[in-house]
Amino acid sequence: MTLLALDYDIENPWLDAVLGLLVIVLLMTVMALTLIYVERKVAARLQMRLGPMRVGPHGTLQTLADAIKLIGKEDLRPASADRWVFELAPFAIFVPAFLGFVAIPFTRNWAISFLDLGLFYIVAVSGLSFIGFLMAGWGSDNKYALLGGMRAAAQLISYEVPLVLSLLAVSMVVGSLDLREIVEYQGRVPLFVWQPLALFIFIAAALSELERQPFDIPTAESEVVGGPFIEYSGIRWSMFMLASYTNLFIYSLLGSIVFLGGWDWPLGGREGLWLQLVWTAAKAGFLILFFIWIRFTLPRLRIDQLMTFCWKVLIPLAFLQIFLNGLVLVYEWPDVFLLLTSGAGLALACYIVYRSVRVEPRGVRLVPAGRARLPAATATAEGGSGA
Amino acid sequence: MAEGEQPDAPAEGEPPVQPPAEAPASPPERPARAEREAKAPVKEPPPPGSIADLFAQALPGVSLDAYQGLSSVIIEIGRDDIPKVMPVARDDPRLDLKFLRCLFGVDHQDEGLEVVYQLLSLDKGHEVTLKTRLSQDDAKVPSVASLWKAADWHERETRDMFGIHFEGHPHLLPLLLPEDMTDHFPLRKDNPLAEIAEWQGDFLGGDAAAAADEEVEE
Amino acid sequence: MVTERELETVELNINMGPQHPSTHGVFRMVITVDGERIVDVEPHIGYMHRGGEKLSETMDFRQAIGYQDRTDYLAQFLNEQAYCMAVEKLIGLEVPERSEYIRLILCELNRVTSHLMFIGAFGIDLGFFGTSFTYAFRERERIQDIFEEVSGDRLMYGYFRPGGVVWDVPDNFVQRVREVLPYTKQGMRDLDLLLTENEVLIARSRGIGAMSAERAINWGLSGPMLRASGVPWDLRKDQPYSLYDRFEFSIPVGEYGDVYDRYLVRLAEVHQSIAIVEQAIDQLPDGPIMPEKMPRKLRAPVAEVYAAVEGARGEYGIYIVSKGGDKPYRLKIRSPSFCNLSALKEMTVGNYVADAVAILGSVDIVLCDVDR
Repeated sequence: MTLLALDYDIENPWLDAVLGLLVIVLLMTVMALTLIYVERKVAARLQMRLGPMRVGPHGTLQTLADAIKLIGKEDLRPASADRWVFELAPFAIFVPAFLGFVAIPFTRNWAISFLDLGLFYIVAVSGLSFIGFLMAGWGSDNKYALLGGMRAAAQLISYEVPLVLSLLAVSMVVGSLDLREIVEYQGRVPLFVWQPLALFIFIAAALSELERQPFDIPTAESEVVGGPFIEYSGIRWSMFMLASYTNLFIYSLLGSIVFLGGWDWPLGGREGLWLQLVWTAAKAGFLILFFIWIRFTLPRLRIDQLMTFCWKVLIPLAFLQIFLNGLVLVYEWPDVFLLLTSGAGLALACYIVYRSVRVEPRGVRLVPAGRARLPAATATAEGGSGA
Repeated sequence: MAEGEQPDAPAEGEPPVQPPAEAPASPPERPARAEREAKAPVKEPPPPGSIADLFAQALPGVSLDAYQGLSSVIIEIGRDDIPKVMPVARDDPRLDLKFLRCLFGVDHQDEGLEVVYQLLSLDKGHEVTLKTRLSQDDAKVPSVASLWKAADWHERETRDMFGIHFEGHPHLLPLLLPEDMTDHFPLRKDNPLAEIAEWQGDFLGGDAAAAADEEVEE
Repeated sequence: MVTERELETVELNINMGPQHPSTHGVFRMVITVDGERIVDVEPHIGYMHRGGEKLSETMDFRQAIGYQDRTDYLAQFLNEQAYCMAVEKLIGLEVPERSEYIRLILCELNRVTSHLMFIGAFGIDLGFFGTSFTYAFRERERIQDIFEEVSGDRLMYGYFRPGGVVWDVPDNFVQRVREVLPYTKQGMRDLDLLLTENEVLIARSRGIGAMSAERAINWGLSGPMLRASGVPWDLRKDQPYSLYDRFEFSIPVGEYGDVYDRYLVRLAEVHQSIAIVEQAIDQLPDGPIMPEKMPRKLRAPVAEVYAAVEGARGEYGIYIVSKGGDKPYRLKIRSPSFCNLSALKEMTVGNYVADAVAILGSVDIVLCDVDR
């Protein structure tokens, strides 16, 4: 492994693995704690409040205090819960996040391991976490948890498809699945310029994989009761939280590497190590802030609207993107065509969303005075539900 | 009610209000309080052209005792006339009382129970209060829940509070009271509120300090 | 292992129990779902029943006003107004003009705070996770400060009395109200931008829980729910009380009666209320706040009276049966939330579970008002 730009081969693969594990664990924990704090502060500012302010200067030690509290809590388990399923569920969600970190390069020379099939590996591994939701839902022996777990599983599996397709579109254009090569390909122009539609699909699918608003219906089952995690307490519950924030970090890193140019653009990768780190951090940070921003601005979609959005909007658009990419590659048209086709696809996506909610403008009429008159035609309900 | 309390210091300014007067009359000689309160209310007939006339036209054979209340015309009907009167009240185009404002009971003790219906017509703008008397032992009334869905919960609440059974109601289960409390009717007058003891001054013990003024519900 | 076939045929009973973050109080709904669709809803109320009507029979007319604050605790001035109107009509008291203006201004400001609370809570029900709540409450707090300056209390004001108000408003009342109104308007603009055109909110609330005008009237709905269904009935216009016929304002009327319409109607009502307050605060006259010849003990004749106001949630009415004496013989509270909530099953059956929460939020109930 390469660390601190020192290329050294550790003879013993076990020692190598242990060191790598140590690095991941430390990095993940620190990042998750920091991200929780950042989210609370940014959310508070969006809501015109201050956020944590008391514990530590400006509340910086708040997450540590929360972690200490959670570790000290009693580890409850419902008596009728399926014991092993219940207790292993947090691990089933947490471990894929660990695994995903292995293949992500932070700079040109820093990664736990540089895989040729990096993109494929990350997607495959992050798709394993839905089993944890099912296990949590089933093992809790609780109706709410069961419903929440089922919905979580349905949502996660469904949104894997557009996620993978958008990344596939990108790797088609680049011609490789290796994350380092994808970044080098973007040396002059980052991929979001050529593939804006793929970026849009990626962001929507990532939001859904992370179970954040507007796609957080499983964990807001019957609104705020907690979905599959309803029976968990203490450190087990905090593992779900940590997994969620670790995934946030991973997806933001992935997005910044694949679409925003990683450590390379715009000043070229010939700069030193520290500038590359800064670029990586800045781009990942930008995506993280964007996700947080969306979370506190949009309410949540209903489960059927969520599924409709995935299967009827995102997947056809993803296929369209791949098809157009294919055309451009086969006929060897200049890159500008990629921009045109993808931009047109994005415009189509926005138009579809727009049309589906603005079917006709709605307002109330102001009646200046008077006695009630029943409307001449009894107003009928719009839409099938509740007629 | 404590009749024995001292009469108020200067109460000359108190205008004697004759029910159901529209404007306060000039103060006549004040009779004794007990006499005044024992007087039965004078039931003024409703003005001509009011909704009582429309009722009389729409329901010729039914006995309607109509008088003018402080807020609206009040019409007393018999309990057995309800299945006749209510559908007409709702559907007759002259009456068009499609809005059931409220439905509740009153316990008049010796004079029986009473069910009050307040109806309103949004289109025509007129309103009426219908009342029917029942005796305490035979507290049954035909339900109007099939005519106005609003009556559904109002009738359940009236049954809870007064024990009046509404025949024909789809599910007359306790609404505000616990599910198993079906024989206890809180708002009836023979169900006293717990003794209220009024304490003045230092009530932390000592007979001299506490001046208890006990009021017991009749 | 439960197979898919088993899950399909079993109807699940979900209990949204008395303690639940989104049932707006202590309220229990037992929802029977078949897969995703709601098949039956059974609301259980009565957790907040405190016997207010019975208690009011033991209190004399001035004491009984204390209970009126505690029914609809988000629109207290409107409740007190209804009660005071009923007692005044019964006894024959004449309210001086200054008190009428003060009452009207406070009632309309209370309507604004109540609707702001609705908008905040509505956002949370739909999943906003707090943003709409803090925006709405910032404006609400400014108006609450005025209420505290006037009555001394933040929640249970107890400021109106039969005949007028208990003490005069502070000297800077007019100036304070004029200060606060621009902030309220700006806050409404912010909320409007955040919520009204929000695509997800529209998708979650359009076409959900619609009630046609005929059914709304049959179910006894009133207030914004009735107006959202297309019936332009507002007690301030159709059975005017207090001084409402002196002011120019409109009533917003919706068209479909679904959740989105109810939200739009309440949003527009806030603007109308602000307009009324602006006109009234310019006209506030000087003078006494209680009638000159106010009896020390209020004695009522043998009569019955009903007085209703257009509350924030609908028609709030008080029916008093009096047999002489200084206590009401029977005090019946016609509470809007009770009547509006009775239609819950009709609006909810056939929708999804997530919609049940949105519909319940749009009814805008206050449990103490439902249960009295």
